[in-house]
Amino acid sequence: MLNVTFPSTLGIQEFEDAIAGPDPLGSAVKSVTFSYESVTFIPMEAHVHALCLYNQLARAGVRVRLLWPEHDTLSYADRMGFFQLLDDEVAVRPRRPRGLLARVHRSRNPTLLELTAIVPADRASADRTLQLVYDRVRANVRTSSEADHVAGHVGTVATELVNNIFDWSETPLSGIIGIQRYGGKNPRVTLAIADSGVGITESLRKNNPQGTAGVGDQDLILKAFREGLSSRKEPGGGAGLTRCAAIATQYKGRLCVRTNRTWSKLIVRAESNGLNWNVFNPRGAMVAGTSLTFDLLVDRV
Amino acid sequence: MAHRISVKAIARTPQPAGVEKGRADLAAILRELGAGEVVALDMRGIRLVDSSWAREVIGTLVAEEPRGSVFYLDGVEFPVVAENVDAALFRGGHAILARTADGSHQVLGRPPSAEALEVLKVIERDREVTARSVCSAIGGLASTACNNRLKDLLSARLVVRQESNLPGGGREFMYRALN
Repeated sequence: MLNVTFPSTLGIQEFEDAIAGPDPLGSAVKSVTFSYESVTFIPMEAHVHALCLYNQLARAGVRVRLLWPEHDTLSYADRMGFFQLLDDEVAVRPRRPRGLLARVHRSRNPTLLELTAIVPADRASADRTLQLVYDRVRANVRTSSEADHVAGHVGTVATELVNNIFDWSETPLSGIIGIQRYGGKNPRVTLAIADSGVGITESLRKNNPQGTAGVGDQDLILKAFREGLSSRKEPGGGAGLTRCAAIATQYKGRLCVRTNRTWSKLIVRAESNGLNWNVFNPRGAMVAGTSLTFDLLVDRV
Repeated sequence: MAHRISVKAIARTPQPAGVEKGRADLAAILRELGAGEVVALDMRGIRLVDSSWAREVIGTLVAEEPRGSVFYLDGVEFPVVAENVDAALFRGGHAILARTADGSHQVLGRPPSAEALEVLKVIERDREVTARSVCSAIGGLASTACNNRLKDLLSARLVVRQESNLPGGGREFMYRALN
């Protein structure tokens, strides 16, 4: 049995740090307890990461228990749709919310897109969600004359990554997408997308053995975003991730890419060079699939 | 006049995306095609396309020129649509002419030379030209260079050409803007 205790602020970095040692999915344990008892703040993107891990553990037959006292963080998670997407086998103590807040308030707040499942068998539903992504981002930059342009760019990133779920993730498990606008000193709009598939690096290696031979994961990810590496045989493929990188560069945004055990953060160091590494950690805990977080700093729009 | 096909009517969404959707929309466009037409893909109402859809639909149409038709994009309202088509076509080595709602034009994808684009500008302005009229519009341009640039534009399918008989005998090629 494993116990993972989260710190008071549970961003992506803290989530990664907390699971790196115990490595719940990679350690073949039968039971894992995650404690939220000290947690006072969880951004939306950390919920997306956590959901993927918990659902994968439950799918693997591991008993998962979340110790999560009544607190604002629990209400926020409920409001974001966390418990609607959490596998039914995952226990929440002392009480698992029934998703009522999300059901009642879904779509009523223009500053967020609640956590939404991308079901691999249902492209039509995913397309409706992508239209919501566009509308939500547009609503969040409504003071700017560039609203449609920004919505188009974030929508492009979302669409390219949702496409990857359909085309390459090779899993029946649903992906997850969410958007949240944050205020404060550095107001930003964050888009988070994750799937529980084979992972971007594995997919590229499997489908493009020539283009990936002898390239390490670090260079492979950068190459996929900078130059485009297609998993497809047809000419002209591979533009999706390069468009994501170009858009991140244009807005001096940040991209966090997680694939299986590799977690990395890409930032723009110089516009002429596009995206560069800020953090590259190949020794993370196992979480199957690909997740990507895109931070768009609103004051740079 | 170009055969106009509304992409919004075909796709039935303002944001067509993905390989499968692209293939379905391509098949629908192909069903509407005649032979040897200039086809305006009307992009009004389309606010976003992704690179996969752009490659499957627009990339295939410009690469394969089904039934000898020539395609251009018309009424592009959202710059991101042009950007994403541009990125998709560039990787495939193809180009397409795009006009915005206000009538201005740009070449998306891999464009011909800057010199050929200068000639395209003249054709877009005058709508119909001969090699001679282009030479006089661009001062100091030699006739061979002018013909080469026109050929480049023609082979990139950014203009169309028609042969006409001159009143005093002989023939001349007319180069026309896509519309």
